[in-house]
Amino acid sequence: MSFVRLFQTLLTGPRVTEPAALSPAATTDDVGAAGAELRAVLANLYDGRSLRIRAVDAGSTNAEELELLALGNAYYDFERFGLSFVASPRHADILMVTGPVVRNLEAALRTTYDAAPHPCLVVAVGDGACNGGIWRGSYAVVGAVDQVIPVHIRIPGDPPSPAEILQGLAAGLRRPR
Amino acid sequence: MTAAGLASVGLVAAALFSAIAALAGLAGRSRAARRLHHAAMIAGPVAGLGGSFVFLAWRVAPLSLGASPLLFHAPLVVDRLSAFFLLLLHAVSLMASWFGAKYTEDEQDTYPPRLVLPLTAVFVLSMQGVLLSSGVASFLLFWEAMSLSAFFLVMADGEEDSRKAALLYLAIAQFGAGALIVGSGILGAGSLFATFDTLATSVGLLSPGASTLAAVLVVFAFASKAGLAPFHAWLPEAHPRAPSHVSALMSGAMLKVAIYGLLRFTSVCWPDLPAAWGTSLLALGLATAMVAVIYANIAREIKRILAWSSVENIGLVFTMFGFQLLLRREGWPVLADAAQAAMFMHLLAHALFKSGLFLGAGAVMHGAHTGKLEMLGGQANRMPRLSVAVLGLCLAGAALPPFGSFVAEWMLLQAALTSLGTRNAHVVIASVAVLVGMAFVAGLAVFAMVRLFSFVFLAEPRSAQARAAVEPAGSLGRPIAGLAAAGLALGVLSPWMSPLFPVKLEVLGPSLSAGPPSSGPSGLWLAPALAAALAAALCLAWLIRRSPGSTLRTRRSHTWDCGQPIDATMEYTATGFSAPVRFFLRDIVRAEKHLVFRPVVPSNPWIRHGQMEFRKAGGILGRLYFPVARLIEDVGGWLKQLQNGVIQFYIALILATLLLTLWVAL
Repeated sequence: MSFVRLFQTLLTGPRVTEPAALSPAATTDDVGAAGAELRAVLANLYDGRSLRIRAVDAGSTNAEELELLALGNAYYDFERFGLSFVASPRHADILMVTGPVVRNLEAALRTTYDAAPHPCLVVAVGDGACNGGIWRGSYAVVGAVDQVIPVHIRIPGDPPSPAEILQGLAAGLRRPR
Repeated sequence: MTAAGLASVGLVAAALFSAIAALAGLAGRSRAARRLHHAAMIAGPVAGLGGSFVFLAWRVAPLSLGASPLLFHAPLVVDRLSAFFLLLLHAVSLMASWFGAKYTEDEQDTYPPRLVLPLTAVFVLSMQGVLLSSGVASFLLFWEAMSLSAFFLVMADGEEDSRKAALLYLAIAQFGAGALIVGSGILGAGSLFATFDTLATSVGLLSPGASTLAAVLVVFAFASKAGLAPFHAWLPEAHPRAPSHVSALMSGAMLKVAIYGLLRFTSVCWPDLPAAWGTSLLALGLATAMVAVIYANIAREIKRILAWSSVENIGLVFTMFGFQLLLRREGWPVLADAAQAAMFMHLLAHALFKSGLFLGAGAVMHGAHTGKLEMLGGQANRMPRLSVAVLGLCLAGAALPPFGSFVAEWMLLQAALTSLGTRNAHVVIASVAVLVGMAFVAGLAVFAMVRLFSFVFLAEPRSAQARAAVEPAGSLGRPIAGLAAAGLALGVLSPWMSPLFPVKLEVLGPSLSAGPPSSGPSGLWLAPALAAALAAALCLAWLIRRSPGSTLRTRRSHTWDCGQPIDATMEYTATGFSAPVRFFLRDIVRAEKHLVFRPVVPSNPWIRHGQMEFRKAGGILGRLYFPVARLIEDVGGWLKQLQNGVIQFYIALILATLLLTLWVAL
């Protein structure tokens, strides 16, 4: 009997999710274009050296982490553009911060920024990091990353796809400051 | 005024000031009396330091300071040997009294001033008396006063453990004093009122057996007082228990007074001890140093570590003494002089750095209210000035250049290395033993000092009380800095230090060939040369850093902690730090480790409470002292059966005695 009730609820109950907003899927060409642009920017910016990224989770849902992880897989292979993740902020040029900054990780984010050699670019990845996302105003979060440390590049999306991350990074680095 | 007059005035004034301090300490609880006490305690050593310095530096001939019927008519006499030890004693007691003036006022709830003030003065006075006595009776009188005042000072805080430690100390001290009295009785042909001059003639009349027996008794007495193994068990128990400035006096001065007694009696009575004495004292000394330095690495309380380190250094002094005896008997007087010079240098260097370290321990414990390494740490941030002074003293304790202790050990190593070329089997074997033993001791001494300094001063504090500690007052810190500076000066100025020593220091040249330096610098120049090189390197580094062309730009940041704040629970513990030492030397240390696991619920054996107990096995106390004590107790119990209260039995005993006497007599 319980199966009948389960299916009843599933099929005839109230809708609890919204239809996904379909963003135009990034193609291989988009990734290649963004990568070429990044490589050109890096050749200028860092004298041809690669760009070292430290990912900092400030309380995300791990959706952004999965997308960042995907950057390293065989399909996107972002290391060919001169980017790589490092294990310590001491080695990093860029911090990629994800998630609305939850109160328990505020100090960790601050000390990470302090531990990184300056000048250090901070990239807010995802809606949570850019403006607090759906957690904005909650008692448990501080809010957007720029309320804790200075943010230089914002990549919105919930989560942004790997291609969008690459495009956002290229656009942010290219922008004259 | 002549130099002799100045010296005698200074030394007499030093003794009188100690007497005034004792009376003022006895007199009262009023502020004025205490202030008088502290002023006299500081004025005395200043006068004594001046007097003995003038005596040594102006090379005054032996000098009599006058006799008194109170001291059995034997005059108080000072010669170069006693003047050197007086210099050492007054240097230590000056700094200890300066420290004590504030320390005893601050710690009066722990150590009652009514007890501590007069006893400390009596302690210093009796050490002065021992060094100045020229008669056996007054020597023994002051010797006993020294032992007894130290006994009461050890249990000044009235705790149960202190009382036990003090009683152990008293037992061994009285055992030694008894041996000394019997030995001097044999030497003086039944009289204790000989002077050292008459002793020299009367010892010639003794049979060889009696002379050897007296030598054994006297050497045992001084060795047990100085803490030579296996009579050292009292030292690590008693020294840490006394108030810190008294610990400094005990380790810095009292042990040296025992060495003085040894040197005085052997030089007067047995100027030609056979080589076997040298070998056995060398072996005992080396064994003492090697065992003590292991325990200095294992102990977990500041003052206990320092006490073990004192045992180690006394072992080295006996090594140098025995080596010197051996070399002299085997016909190598120059090398013997080198070992002897090393011994005197080590005595002074150890007196300076060890008293400084004990005062430093007192200052730390005064601020942090604990002496346990597992509760300390991080004091360098809280006590920056004290930590610099104690760092210097720890470097001296590790016998690193350019401190005086380095000079002493270097002189011994130089003598031992040179002795390898003598082609005398006895000497070569002894020098190889000295070299191997010194390598072991010096290495572990560095380990012990690194451990001591880093667990007290570095990293994060391991307890709330250590976190709350603050820099001690200047009057506590300055004497410690003074002793550190004195230890440094002793090393850096060692080529010019010879006038202050009873023997010549420049014995061996810079090269390792037998013979005195005919021309050119002596081996003593190594310490100043290293000091100059060190200073030049530091200046150069500073200049490079400060030069305008320097591109180094730094930003201070915290240690990267992965976002999780670093705290004291992540730190190395003092016990863990010494684990390699305990592991590799487990046959000597014999620690007992008990692991007990108890299931939380009987039905599930896998979820369990674990408990580890770790303690030192019985050690020398359990293996040697307690069996002897039990034996004495058993014999006493057996003899007690005679006192059974039955009158007929007593009458029978009297009758038996009478019969026995008649039988023997007729």
